[in-house]
Amino acid sequence: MFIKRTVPLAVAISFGIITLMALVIPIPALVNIITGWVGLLTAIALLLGILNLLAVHFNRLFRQRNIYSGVLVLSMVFVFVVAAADSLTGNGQNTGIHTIFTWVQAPLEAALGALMAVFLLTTGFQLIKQQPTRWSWLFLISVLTTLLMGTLTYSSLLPAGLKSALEQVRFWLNNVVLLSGMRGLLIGIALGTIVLSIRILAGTERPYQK
Amino acid sequence: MNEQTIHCTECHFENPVGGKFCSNCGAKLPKSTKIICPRCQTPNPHDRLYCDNCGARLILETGSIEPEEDTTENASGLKAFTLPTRKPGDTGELDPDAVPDWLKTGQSSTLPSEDDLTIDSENLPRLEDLTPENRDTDDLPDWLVGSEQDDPIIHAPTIITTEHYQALLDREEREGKSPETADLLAQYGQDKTNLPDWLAATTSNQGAEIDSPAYEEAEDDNLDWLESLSQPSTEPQKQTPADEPQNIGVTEWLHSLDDETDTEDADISWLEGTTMLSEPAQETESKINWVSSLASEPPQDEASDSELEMDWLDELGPPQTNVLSEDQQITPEDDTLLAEEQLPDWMEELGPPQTNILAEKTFSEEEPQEPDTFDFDLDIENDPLVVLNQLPTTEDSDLPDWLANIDDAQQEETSPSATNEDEASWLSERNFPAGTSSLEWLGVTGELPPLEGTPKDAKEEIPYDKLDDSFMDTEPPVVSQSPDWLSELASLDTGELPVDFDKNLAEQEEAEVTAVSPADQFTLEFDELEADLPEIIGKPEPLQADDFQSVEDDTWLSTGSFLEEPLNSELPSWLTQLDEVSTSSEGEAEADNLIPSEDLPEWVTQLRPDEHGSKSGLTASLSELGFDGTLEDIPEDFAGAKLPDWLQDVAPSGANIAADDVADVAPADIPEWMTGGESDSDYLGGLDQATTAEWDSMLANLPPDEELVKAELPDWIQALKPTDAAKETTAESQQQQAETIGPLAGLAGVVGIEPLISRPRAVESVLSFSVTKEQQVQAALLQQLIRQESTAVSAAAEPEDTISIGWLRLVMGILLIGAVLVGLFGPNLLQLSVPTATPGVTAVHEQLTAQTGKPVLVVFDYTPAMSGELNDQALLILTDLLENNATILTMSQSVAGTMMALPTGLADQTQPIGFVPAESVGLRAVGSCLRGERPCDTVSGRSLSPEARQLLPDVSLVVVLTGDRDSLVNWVEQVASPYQVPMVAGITQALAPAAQPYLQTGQIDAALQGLPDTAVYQQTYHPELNNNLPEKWRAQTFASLLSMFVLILGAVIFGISGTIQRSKAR
Repeated sequence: MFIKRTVPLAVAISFGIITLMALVIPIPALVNIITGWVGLLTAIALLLGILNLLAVHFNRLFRQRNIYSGVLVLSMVFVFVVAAADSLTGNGQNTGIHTIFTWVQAPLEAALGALMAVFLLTTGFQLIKQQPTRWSWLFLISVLTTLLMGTLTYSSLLPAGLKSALEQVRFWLNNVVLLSGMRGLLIGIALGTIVLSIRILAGTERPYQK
Repeated sequence: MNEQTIHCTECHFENPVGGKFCSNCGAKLPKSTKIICPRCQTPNPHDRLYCDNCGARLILETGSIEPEEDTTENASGLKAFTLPTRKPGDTGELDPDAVPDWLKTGQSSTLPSEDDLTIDSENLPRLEDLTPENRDTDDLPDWLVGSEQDDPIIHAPTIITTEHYQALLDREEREGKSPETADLLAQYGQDKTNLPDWLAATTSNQGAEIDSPAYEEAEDDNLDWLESLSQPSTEPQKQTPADEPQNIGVTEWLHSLDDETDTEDADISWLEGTTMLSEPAQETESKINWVSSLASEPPQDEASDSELEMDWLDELGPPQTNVLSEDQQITPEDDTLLAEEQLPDWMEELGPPQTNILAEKTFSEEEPQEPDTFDFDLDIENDPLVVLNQLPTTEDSDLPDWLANIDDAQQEETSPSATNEDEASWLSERNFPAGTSSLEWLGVTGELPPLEGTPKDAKEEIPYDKLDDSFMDTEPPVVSQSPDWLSELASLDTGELPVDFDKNLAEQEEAEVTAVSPADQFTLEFDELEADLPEIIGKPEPLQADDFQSVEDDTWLSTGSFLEEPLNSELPSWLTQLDEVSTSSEGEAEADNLIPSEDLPEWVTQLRPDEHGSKSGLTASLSELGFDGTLEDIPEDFAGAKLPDWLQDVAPSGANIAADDVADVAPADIPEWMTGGESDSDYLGGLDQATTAEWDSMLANLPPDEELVKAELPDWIQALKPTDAAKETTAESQQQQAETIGPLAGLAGVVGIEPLISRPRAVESVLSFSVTKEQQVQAALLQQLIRQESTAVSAAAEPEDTISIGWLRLVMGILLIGAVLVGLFGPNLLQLSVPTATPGVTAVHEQLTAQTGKPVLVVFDYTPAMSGELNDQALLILTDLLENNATILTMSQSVAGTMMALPTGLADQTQPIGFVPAESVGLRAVGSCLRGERPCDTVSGRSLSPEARQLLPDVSLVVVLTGDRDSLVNWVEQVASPYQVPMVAGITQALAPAAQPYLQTGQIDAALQGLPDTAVYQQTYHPELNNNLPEKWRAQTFASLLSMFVLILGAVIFGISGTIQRSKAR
């Protein structure tokens, strides 16, 4: 109990207070030391996470005969080997990692983004069918307006007067409705961050023990 | 429900299997009426518990609810697996008509009858049914069934009868001798933690090397003590013709006392069950019938075994037994010995209340004994207590001190000799009844089942060594683990126990010289103890020689091994403390050797005389109660006044105490407390008259009954209270009026309800219970769910929906791809033209061109998924910076971030710093480094190159290319704003709304928002770059228009159809 709860709590509270005081009372050296530790610990945690991921999939491969984990393990090992080879050869841009990124990772992520567009469109098509509420209608109107403003205003087919009117509407929406909404969200996020910080300093919230 | 049909919940029509809709009404049928086997996925009929294909269990055991036919109309139309919903305000009131009566009144109208509560013994399993051959269930563990152990340790008899023993005997004769209990104990006794203490002690004794002759003899049959314990179970059938009713309960011996005292004859057959009187007198005919109950006597060679009999076991029997084992015949030669054997005063005081009464009564009925018949002396050698010294020396440490002290002194005396053999023989006979009586009178408590047949028969038919061990196992705990109340009873006999062993050693020599016969010894002991009895106690009837004849014939009397146990571990504390008294220097016990008062029960302590020995507590207590006279006839009257009715029977009648009974009592043996301060001569001179006068005086001075304080009986006496007496209390309680209503109906003596509470009050509002139709539907739905809980139904989505969604997604994908292709390669149908530069785009260009010759930090915080939109921005920005000779440092919060600079083809002209972890904290460190607040040797633990260390503090502009909101916010809030670093953002069009506030506030100097601004920027400032940005912009525009069209189409279709359905519903 002492090791698992009291010590982490004491460390979190003490470092939180020190960091907070460093913001109020400029102590660059102290802040730099703490932030340097944070970066180092985060890097170590990332490394541990990668190793743990590798170990988990190794376990699933050899114990559960999971072929997907086998593919993943092989992929990770392959990338590690390529990166190690690049570091040894030092070929600059024309490295194996560059090739893998250009021809594997980038297309895959782009494809996933494209699929998201398909899914969003399909869901939007059935929105009224699934939830025929007033908020669904409001959402549809907002989306249509945004799309309309973003596309038709650049079209030469529309009359200039209409385009000007649409520009005014678009400006008003962006600078009044959208901006106020986003500010509200940012203020809410800031307040939530403050509350969470206080809870962490008070020891009520202990995300490091989860 | 027929397993070949599907029941329609709407019209109750039985539809063929496989249909989705009812053939009668068209309603949708339940999706599945089959139970899918979890193992082979085979659909099974609804009523199956096990799969027809593979036999796997389909339904959990606890959830095997048989489905019922849904006859509720309200249940129709409900979806089988939709949770019930309840609108706000629906509280689920109950219909008062539907509430059962017992719930309304809180009373149960149907109380279980006695017949219902009676256990159906016929349905109970029998032990023989648990045998491997007969068992037909797997519910029993193997160890209980014993399937793997052919020869169980204990042959537990189901019915303990003589026939059972006979069967066992026959079986043993046929099959040979079964493993002895000793062997089993030796085998299983290795782990003594699994054995009770008394059993573990037995096993330890068996393994010890003992040189004692007695032990060597007992070694051959070291379980004789068990035999002695088992034999008494047959004693009731060996009773004398007195035809005593079978004793029932512990107090039967008390009843027998009374019964015997009421009889005119001197028969003490009531003691037939208490065979403590078994003194040997082979050549003497005895008139005591109970002695005849000792059917056989042990052979001479087992005398030493019987020597190991424990006297304390005798004392576990009726308290008076040891007294009766004494003879009233006291020869002048024995006076000295008896004087030496005189009990300590406090022990004398312990004796009378419970023991000597009966003994004296018995004496009164007996004829004077012939000296040659009962001419016996205290045989130290054969005395069971003395034989204790024959215990293994290795266990001396386990023996109490008083036993250990006599060990050495008795070693010589225990050597076998001709004389001792004879003496041992009668002693074994004497000890047998002691052992048996201790069990016999326990047997009357009901714990030991009586056996049929005479002792002779039992002896012949059931030899000990062939007795079943299982039965034997039941005996030792009864003796060794006597309950407290039993110990208290035994402690009352301590008046007979103290035997000064030191003195006995000296007396043994006399005994050897005189070489008295066992009968003589019995007489002496009898006289000795009898002399200690007060006059109010009848003298025990002398024993006759024939009484012992049968005893001596019994071979099963040997109990030698019993004494070989480490008795100290089982001896009660009171017995151990008796040694302190008995080992006192000479004759009478010294006051220093008395048992500490704190170790004695309080009532016993009160009976002890004070330090000066002047007066007994008992006498004082009697005086306090007004007993100023003699103690004549006090038991009867006193019991009537003091004791409850059920205990009155215990008290002997004064009529049974004859003057002759006490005439022969040696005055020296009369305790002082009994003499009432009178001199011995006075006492002897007018013993009978004084006693009578004393009793008369006491009775005359008795206060009225109503003034007597009701005795507070100890718990152990209360436990012995007969049920008849207990019924009196029940009768009293029944007189009270019993409750007739309410939850306490049938109980008497219930405290009445407070009047204020019971006062009738007007109910303000009567709770109205009503069940709405919706609630009925919900209830029906719950019932349906409960019935179908065990049904495994596939939760797969409807096939038609899956297909439609799949097709819809496919169509949408094709449309999007078509729109993009049209935008990239098709004609400009919409005549889209790139707009002119906006102020935001112009500001970006100005910021980039202003960094001429300065280091600029470009952050690539986007993933490859956003590369199609941001890579063009990165290319334009890097181009502008390079054109203005800016030094470019690249950094990223994403692992793959810096790699995104590679597609631009300009990565080799940058200074990569790399990955910066820790998000906001890491950016905070970067910000402090940019402003020179700390040396930039490392950034978030990453060591920087010397060029980077030099350039970072001089960075004049930060360009953030990101599509993630958190990344943008962190750069703005942790770097740009705190350290006043100019910042230009290149963001996706989706992130533009999030950047708008920062643009408004100036926290971000300029931003390229999405592909439109990028296209404008490229067409305005870098038209030479042929990266097809206008075509991409058109493709995006077409895709947006397509999306807008699809959304409108969907809204129209489903909006109109939904409206039509709702209108139909209305």
